[in-house]
Amino acid sequence: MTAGESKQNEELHDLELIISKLLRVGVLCAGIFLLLGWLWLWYNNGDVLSSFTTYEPRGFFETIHWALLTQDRAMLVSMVGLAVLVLLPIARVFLTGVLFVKQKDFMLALMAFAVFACLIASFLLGIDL
Amino acid sequence: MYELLLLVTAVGAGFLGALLGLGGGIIVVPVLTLLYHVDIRYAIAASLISIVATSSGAAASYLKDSLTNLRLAVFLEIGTVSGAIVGFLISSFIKAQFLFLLFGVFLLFSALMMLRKREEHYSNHNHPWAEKLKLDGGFPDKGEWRTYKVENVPLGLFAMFGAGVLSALLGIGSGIFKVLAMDGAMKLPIKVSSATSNFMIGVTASASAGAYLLKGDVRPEIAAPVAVGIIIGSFIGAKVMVKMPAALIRKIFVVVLSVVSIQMIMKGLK
Repeated sequence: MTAGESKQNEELHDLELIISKLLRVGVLCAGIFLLLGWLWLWYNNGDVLSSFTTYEPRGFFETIHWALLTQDRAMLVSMVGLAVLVLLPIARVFLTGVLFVKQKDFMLALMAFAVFACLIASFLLGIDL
Repeated sequence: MYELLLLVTAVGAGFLGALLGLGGGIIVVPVLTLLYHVDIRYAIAASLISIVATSSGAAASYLKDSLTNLRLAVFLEIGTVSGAIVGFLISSFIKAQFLFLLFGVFLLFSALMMLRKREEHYSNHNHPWAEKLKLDGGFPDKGEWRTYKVENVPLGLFAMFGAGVLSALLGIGSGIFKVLAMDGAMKLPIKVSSATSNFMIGVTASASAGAYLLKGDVRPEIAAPVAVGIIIGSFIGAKVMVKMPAALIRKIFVVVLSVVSIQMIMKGLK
């Protein structure tokens, strides 16, 4: 292995470590937000579980909008936790793509970015048309 | 009070899931619907959120194992994610009753699969796609480095699409189907297919979890205690795994699964 190659390998390894750290820290942060938000919601509203026996979806942005209007900080904190959690795998896929580009493996990079695009498309489908 | 009970149940689900090598979804959805009478759509969305949480935590340590085939995972994720999109789209047109039926059948199938003995494979020829994309690899096994090749790539990709559809529809990680496709069709060694499947589950689940979150099926009042509980439970489960009689628990769990499966089917037929 030449000096150049080993330096490149080191860089790749660093990027992998960053991905790994990002996932770990992300899950931890999201978990804390969710726990706090949930306890807070519970403290504010009491037991509401029985109201979920019937299905009445309310869109993400509508919920956020309401929470902002009514200053429902507990709801906002919980929603941030959920959003962070769901975005983590997307970040992972994107960074994996970057990793393959650095390895000059463009076929695999293309696939990673295709998965990334599909994920974004999937999210957008959730917005009420 | 119910909310606290929900957290405790979720810890139990995460614990059991880690012990048996299952995602929590298979436990969470029946518990939420049958015990707490939560609408199955909320249950499915909450379960997907918890799957994203546990698998992102697990994926963080993929570097250490060298069992996960990253290249293969990225390739197969195209199948699972597009499947998840299709699953999400169909879900709006499906009645809750049918979801109960489908879930019941899935549980029965899972119970059968848990009884199956997995056969070890080492294939020595690559499918042309695997050759082109360099999907084959190697891993350390009992102190020596073993290499493997990958067969039936198109069939594997197609099976992943199906796994993605089911994941979005039922709120499961559908690891059972991923593993089935990888050791059954693509002839990967057991350890490699398990690790690679676990690695892919988070991305598959996040596709539909994100869509359900924006649509409004994810209610933090349910999803938060379930996700937090499962994170804690699976963490404890992974720590004590070695000390527990896993084989016995497995047998008991197969019986429980069959009973729950019948209950889910009954509810679907009502």
